[in-house]
Amino acid sequence: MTRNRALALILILALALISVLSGCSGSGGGGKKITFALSVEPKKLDSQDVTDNPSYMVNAMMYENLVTYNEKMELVPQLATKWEGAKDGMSWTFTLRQGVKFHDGTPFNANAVKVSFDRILNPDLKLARYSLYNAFIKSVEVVNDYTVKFNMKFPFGALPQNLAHPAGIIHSPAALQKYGKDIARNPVGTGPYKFKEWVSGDHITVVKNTSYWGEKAKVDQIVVKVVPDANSRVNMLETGEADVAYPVNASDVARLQKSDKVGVIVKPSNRIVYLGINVTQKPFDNPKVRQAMNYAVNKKAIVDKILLNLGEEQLSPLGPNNWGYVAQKPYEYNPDKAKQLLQEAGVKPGTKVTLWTPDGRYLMDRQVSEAVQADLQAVGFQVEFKKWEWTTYLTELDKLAKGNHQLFLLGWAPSTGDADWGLRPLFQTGETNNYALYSNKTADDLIKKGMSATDEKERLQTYADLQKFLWEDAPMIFLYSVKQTVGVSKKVTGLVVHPLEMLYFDKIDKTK
Amino acid sequence: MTSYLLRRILQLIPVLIGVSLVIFLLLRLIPGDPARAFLGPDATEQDVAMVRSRLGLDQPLVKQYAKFAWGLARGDLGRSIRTDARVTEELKTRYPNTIKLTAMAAFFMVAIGLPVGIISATRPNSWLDNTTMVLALGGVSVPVFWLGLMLILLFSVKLHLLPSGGGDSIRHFILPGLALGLSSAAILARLTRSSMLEVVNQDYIRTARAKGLMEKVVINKHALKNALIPVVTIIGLEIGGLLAGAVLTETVFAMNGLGRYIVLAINERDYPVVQGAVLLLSLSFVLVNMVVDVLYALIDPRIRYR
Repeated sequence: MTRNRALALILILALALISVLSGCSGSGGGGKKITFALSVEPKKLDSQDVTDNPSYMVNAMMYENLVTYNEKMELVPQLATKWEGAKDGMSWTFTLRQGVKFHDGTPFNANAVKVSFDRILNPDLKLARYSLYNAFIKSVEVVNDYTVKFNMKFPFGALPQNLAHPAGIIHSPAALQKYGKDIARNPVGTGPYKFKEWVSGDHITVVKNTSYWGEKAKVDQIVVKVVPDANSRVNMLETGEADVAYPVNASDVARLQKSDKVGVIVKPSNRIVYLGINVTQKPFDNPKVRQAMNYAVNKKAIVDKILLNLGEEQLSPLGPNNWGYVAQKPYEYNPDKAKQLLQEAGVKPGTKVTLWTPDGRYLMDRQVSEAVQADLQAVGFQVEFKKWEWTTYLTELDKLAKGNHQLFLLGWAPSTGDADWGLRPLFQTGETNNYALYSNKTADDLIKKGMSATDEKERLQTYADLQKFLWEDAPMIFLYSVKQTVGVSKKVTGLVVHPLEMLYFDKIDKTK
Repeated sequence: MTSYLLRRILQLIPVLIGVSLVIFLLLRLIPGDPARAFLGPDATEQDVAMVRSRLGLDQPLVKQYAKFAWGLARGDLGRSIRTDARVTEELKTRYPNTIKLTAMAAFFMVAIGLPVGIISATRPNSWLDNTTMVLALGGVSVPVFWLGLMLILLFSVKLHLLPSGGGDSIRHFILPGLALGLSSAAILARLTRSSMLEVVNQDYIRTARAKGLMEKVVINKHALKNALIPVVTIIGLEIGGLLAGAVLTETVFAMNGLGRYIVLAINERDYPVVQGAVLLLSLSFVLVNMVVDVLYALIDPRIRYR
């Protein structure tokens, strides 16, 4: 009998434990709190030394740039009130906002701007975003307390757009002095929220900056919680443990849209996902072959059936929602035309090609690659398929210049939101992300022209020409642009889902 | 006993040196560059080379290992490549969660598995035995992530009894502990049953019954104690398995544990973190086994350590 009694006791104890514990469920505490369930933990809260969007997103709660993009991708003032480029394009002058203070009380002025940019431009510090600005900024000059001048290495028209990049934040010079490298764990900016704590792997908390210069935050704190599993993020949203969940699985979108407690924001990003072509390899050195491949792939089916409309057909080498974007005439799905072009180019049926793809990095990437494989097989190629783990893939792509890769799936989202960074890294001879090893005089000239022009109309025209040229020369199979999916509680208002794959929390609010 | 324990603890040192060497080399055998993983696809080759040199990855392997080993000797595991924070600090926030989770799972394993196994064994082939054993078979087969999601669905989303996500209070560990511990409980139940059945059919049990002892004394005193050695062994091994199995559970329940952290660190090729975390887990595993060995002596007086 003792056995049964012991059993009963365990059961009773367990039940008692559960009921006692569930009784004392979450007390709200003072003030409004937003819990943000994010898939990946930020690496560092120093945007000058990271390249990942989760870091940028949380950083943007606390930091500001001289200029920034609004939701419509228009350049707007932030810590600078106005700016002007010199006629020769060799310098830019910014007038700064007065009466702004950093969270530690240090006044914001031209010196703070200089200190921040001198830091990122210092080669000895080896910061992750060093080369972004080092490519074109020669020096930063303090003209007076509220005027600062950027000197260029060559005529450069896209400086303001580049300063809107997350790495263009302004640090408190006093905090930099105090924390040095550890600024990444002790961020001090001018933004609407102040840093409170970071419990590694669990959460980051920021609180309202009550002496913010602009429109003050409406919530008292934001807790950014790391939740890698997509199902768990949605669960937390549904139980009310999270107010915002990012990103949400494509398969959950339809269900959540029917819920009365939560909703889903679906917004286009500026990211393209494309199938790169190594143009130095035969037969891909022939533009006809590349065009044929564009006719061979059924992009509409990919968008409808695989992406479930959480993407759009790519209509330019530049992603949509970037400054200077011009949609081109689509390559319609036409396998017969593809076959004919391949025949004209002398490509024999059964020609072997290899296709590399990551798995799980971009929305449905592997499945899209499989669809492309099938479409290419249908017009006569024999496609060998290879799936990679992400970090291995990146490292392998670095070796590409020496390798014999052919087709590869990759994404590109210019974090400046500008045509220059949207096209130059992919298509200029010898550039960083030019894994296609593309090298074309016309394209190079147009890229250089667009880069040095300071007149907006001239820049627009140049990039329109460039997009048209690249579209026809087709150094890639144009696939799709991405839509972002954010799960949001119906109590939440004012969350900004930005095309640059950023969420902005400065105007967020929550009803009881 | 004391000298035995001391010897066992001294044996830890070569084990840990071996583990550190193996994990150090294994990590570097995986293709993929930590600097590229840190910077992502849009960084220039120049940036990647710069970060490599900042991280000391451009130095010869022997030098890198020497640096790691020297740090280890002083209790310094280096800094994370991903976040630049001290690895010891990063582990400090996560290790307790994994231990709490494992302890909770072990509790459910023993609290469910042991009684079920004993009850089944005392009524072999009854409907109760058959039912529990079929359930146990199901318990072994159910994947922990599915079970976890179902528990969340029932207790968090529908009944609002318990939280679905990670947290500090013990409430947050009930569902994950149950999800993780249930399959081990099923294994334990099956093993306890077979071990008990073997013992119950021994001559000395018949003798005990013939003496007219009460059934509960026969089972608890004579049978259970003798059946317990394989059971304790399996509990020890299962706890090791639970430590490893924490990965999926921590992911599903959004817990900030070591398992989840190791997976992230491996994906990002965060060498110092993987090294430190694996060493810590190895140490825990070895210690659990040591405790099991000591328990043998407590349960069975015939086992003595010198």
